[in-house]
Amino acid sequence: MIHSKGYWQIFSLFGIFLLLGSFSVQAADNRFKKATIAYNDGEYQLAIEGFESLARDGLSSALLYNLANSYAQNGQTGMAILNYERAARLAPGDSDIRGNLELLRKERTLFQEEQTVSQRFIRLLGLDLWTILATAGFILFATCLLFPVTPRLKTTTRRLVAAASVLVIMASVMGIAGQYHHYHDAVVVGGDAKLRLSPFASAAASGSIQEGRLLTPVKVHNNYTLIKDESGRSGWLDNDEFMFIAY
Amino acid sequence: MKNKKSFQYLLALLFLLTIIPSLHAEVTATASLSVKSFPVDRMAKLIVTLQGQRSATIDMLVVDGLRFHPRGQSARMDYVNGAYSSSVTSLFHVEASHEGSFTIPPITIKSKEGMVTTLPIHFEVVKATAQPTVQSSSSGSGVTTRLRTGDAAEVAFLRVTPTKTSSYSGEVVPVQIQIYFRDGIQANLNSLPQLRGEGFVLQQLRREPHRSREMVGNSSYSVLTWVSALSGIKEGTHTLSMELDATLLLRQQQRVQRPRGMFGDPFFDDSFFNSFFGSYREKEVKVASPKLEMTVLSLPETGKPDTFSGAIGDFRLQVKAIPLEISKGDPVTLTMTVSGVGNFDRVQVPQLQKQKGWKSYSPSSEFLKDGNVNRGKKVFEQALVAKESNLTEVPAVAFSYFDPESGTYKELVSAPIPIDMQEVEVAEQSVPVPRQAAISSGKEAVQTAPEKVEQLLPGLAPLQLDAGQMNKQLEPLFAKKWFQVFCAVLLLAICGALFITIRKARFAGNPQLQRQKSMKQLLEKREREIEEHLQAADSRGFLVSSRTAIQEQLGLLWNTEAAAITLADLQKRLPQDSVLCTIFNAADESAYSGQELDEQQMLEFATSLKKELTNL
Repeated sequence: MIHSKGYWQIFSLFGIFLLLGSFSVQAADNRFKKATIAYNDGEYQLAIEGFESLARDGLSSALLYNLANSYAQNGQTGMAILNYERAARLAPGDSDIRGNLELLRKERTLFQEEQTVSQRFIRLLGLDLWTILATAGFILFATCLLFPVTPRLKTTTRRLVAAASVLVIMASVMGIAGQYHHYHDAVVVGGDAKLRLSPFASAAASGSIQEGRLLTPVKVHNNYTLIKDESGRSGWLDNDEFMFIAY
Repeated sequence: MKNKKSFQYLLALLFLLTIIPSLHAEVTATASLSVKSFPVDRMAKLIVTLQGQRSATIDMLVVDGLRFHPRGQSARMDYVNGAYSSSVTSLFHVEASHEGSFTIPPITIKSKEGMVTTLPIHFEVVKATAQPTVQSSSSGSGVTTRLRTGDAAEVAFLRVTPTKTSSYSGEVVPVQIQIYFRDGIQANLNSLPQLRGEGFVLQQLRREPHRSREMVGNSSYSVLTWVSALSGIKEGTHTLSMELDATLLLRQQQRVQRPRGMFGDPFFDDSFFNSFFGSYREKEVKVASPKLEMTVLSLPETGKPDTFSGAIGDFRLQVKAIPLEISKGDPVTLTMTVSGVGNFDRVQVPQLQKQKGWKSYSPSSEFLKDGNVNRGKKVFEQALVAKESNLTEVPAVAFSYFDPESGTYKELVSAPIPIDMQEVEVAEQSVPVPRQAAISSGKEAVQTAPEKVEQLLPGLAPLQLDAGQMNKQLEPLFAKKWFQVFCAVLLLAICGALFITIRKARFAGNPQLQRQKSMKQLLEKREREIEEHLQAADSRGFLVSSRTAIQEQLGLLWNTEAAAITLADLQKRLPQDSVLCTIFNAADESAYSGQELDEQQMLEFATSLKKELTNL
């Protein structure tokens, strides 16, 4: 009797958790839908607030993509590109993300430097996919050399598969290295960002950097970061003028 | 097969029959001079031909006032209409030290058939022609010679001909650049003509120039022509020139460059003879044009239209729009063609006079060249979307430019293009797609009340309906804990597998280890049997198992057949007081005489046997 009561309590508790969870999911869905409707009605600021509040609880490529669209329609190019880049990290193969990002860059004349063959190769897959590919290659390599799966599999065949695995590993490591090199990149979100010659507010400006430009931070000093943009230009930028893609 | 061989013999015979008469052909020698008269500063070609032979030796000629420069010898074999003939030709350049009448005496030629002589040759050497004025001031390197031009008698010169010497800033001035090489000069171009001087930029030149021939004075020249354009970028008067790097192939022993065509003999103008008889050296030269004064004028500020984008020249504007029957929200493609002569790189898209009621998009542009450097047309295509339903025309567009001929700004304004706006039923136009119905593979068509929503970027792909799986943060896979644990487990598994594989490989390649393992396994097996016999107090079984154990262990140790080991072997190879011999002996006696052991003896034997066999 006591046992049956105990089970009942556990089941009740589990049920409450499930119920609360489903309420939470439903509430998030409702907020997501509300933000989407706001976007469709042209209330972009409202849509941004809705998607941003959801993003505080968790991230997904769809959420970041919708947020980026909202920012783009609201004229906040920097924030839009930042969120497209974040969405692309979660879903590197999503054509909508890539397409909107390209369109926005074109509209805002944020033309990128032409990519080399190696850069294009690195961008074939995202960081996670390169990691998975490297791991798979490593497992295959180890399996081929250490575990003769079937006696019928000849040594030559196993060695060929192992060599192919090594090639896959090498390519993946190159991909990972290339992707990781830009993992800590940032996007200019300030509308009138100025590059300075030294990390002080009183320092002379060496030029301005367009909102939405990608940049690579080099080092930090107080509230300023030495950055390098896509064209190789460098200077000190106020930390409030840019945001990191990864966070 | 036989027929084929016979045919080959027949051919060989025929060939010999035709060759043999030629071997006895008459040997004759001729000598001829390319010209009967030549200036003292030039040379003539002396050709000595020996017919009927394929080799010959000519005695070097010695004539007062003349120098003979051998230029080589060539042999020739002909087979015409069944007649075979051979000849050998020697070429000399004849140079005179002074004017006057000269005679080349008969030339003696030694051949296999003996000696033959030519007829004497009479000729005149006249006064020297005007000396070419090659300004070969060294450019400093000592290797490259600078050839400044202007003189038609030079070996090579560069001529720059702009259409005008005064232009406005940004105006395109067509220019013709011509490099002249006197006939007979072989030259390789090492660079394209390069502009020297400030204030102007030169449009990129085509790699392949136009080739022609031209007479300058009395000399014939090969001419390479580039047509390009100069564009003034800095106001003021500038001194310009052009330079070009070339390598000239010059005759080794000439005092100055001489054209091969001076001999007047087209036969020897053949490139074969030039390369065969010629002895050349390469000379790096820098050919420069005469200096050119060019003025860049500033554009007037007065009368400059707001739409002026820097276009200078003479232009026309054509505008057309399609379709002309539209509804509100429909796009119209406006094609604007600016054609004429001028700096098309500064020609920007014509501006709409009125934008009200229209939404315009960024135009595309394409420049179509019309043969000349500054002539062509630039076509702009711009999409316009009607935002209102009461529009009646596509607005006029304006394009302004500066006319350098008149020195004034001009503005071209197109006429508005009438359009037919068609009414669209509200029901068709603004029926929103229900959100639930519009869901298609996670995407939502953003069509709700389009007339009210002003999108900054209408081309964006629609929102996604499903938020998808949420992550806490944007961390890469390798930074996630579960992935790190997975990788660690994977590495451990691989290390374990590697350890086992290495151990197996070691065991497979080590017979001692294999034997030790076998001995251990067999011993364990026999120990179990002995234990069973011991418990059953089966003396005979105990002794049989003990003997088998001894044989197996020693067999593996001595690498012999276990069953073949006897007491004699043990006594021979083991110490005399070995327990193994005692047990083996007891086992033999039991087998032959039926002698049995008591329990105490069996226990002692079992303990000793285990100890001895383990220590083997």
